[in-house]
Amino acid sequence: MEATLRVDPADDGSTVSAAALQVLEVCDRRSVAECAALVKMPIGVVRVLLSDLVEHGYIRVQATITENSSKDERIELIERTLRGLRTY
Amino acid sequence: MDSALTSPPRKAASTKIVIAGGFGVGKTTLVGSVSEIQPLRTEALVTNESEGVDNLDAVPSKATTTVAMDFGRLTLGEDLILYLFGTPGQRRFWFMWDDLCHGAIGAIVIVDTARLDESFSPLDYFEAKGLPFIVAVNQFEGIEQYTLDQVKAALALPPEVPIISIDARDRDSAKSALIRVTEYALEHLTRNLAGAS
Repeated sequence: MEATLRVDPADDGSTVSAAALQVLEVCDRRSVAECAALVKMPIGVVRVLLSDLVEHGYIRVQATITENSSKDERIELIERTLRGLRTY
Repeated sequence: MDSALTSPPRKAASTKIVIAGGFGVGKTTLVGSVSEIQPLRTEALVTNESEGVDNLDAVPSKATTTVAMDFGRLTLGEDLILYLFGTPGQRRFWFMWDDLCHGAIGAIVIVDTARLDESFSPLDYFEAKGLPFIVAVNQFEGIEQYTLDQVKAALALPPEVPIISIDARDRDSAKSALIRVTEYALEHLTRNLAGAS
């Protein structure tokens, strides 16, 4: 939901649907939730469109913390967040 | 562009904190006072055959409904974005919370001392999930009716859970709540590291 996307210029040239194109236009450096709000589509629909775009190489998903993340990764992220918040 | 491929342990580019509490308690106000964007609303389509819902009595008979979630965003540097997600208040949408809380740093439960009973469900939820949370008493009209110790006792909070008083409309106050929950999440994690995990 909070995972952010980056548009990758190296797409495979395949065409995408009009709905996916709408998502593609707004998704760079934004999260899945933001994309859904901006294109006014339910988040589940946007997830499907985004996964199609990933599959065709148009975008990639940036890292977030998952169940597989190590404690070191979690601590690194929380410390980085804390530093960021203190100067925000 | 290929840096993500060449540096194996990819650093998280985004993270989130969950903002919970009863209806009208100040969740969206808090999000709005620190977010760099106007709080956005996203919707999820939900069917009535939702998993994990124990009380279906209150669910209307239509096949699908929508759950709205408000959220905001704080850019904390070149490489990190923090999202704040307000929880959908209605009890029957609680299964949505699993999705919201998955991978979150922690949660802030905002309470209104006039309606303490609305806080019990979110508190129980986060305790059950093991997600670090703090309690933030939103001071409406700046009138402090109860001390934080009194509120803590009334909510039967575990002793280690931080409780603070905030003004959700104030940016610095909202920010201090975010800092507190992040600090607490760090303490929580390092304490777990020391113990058996």
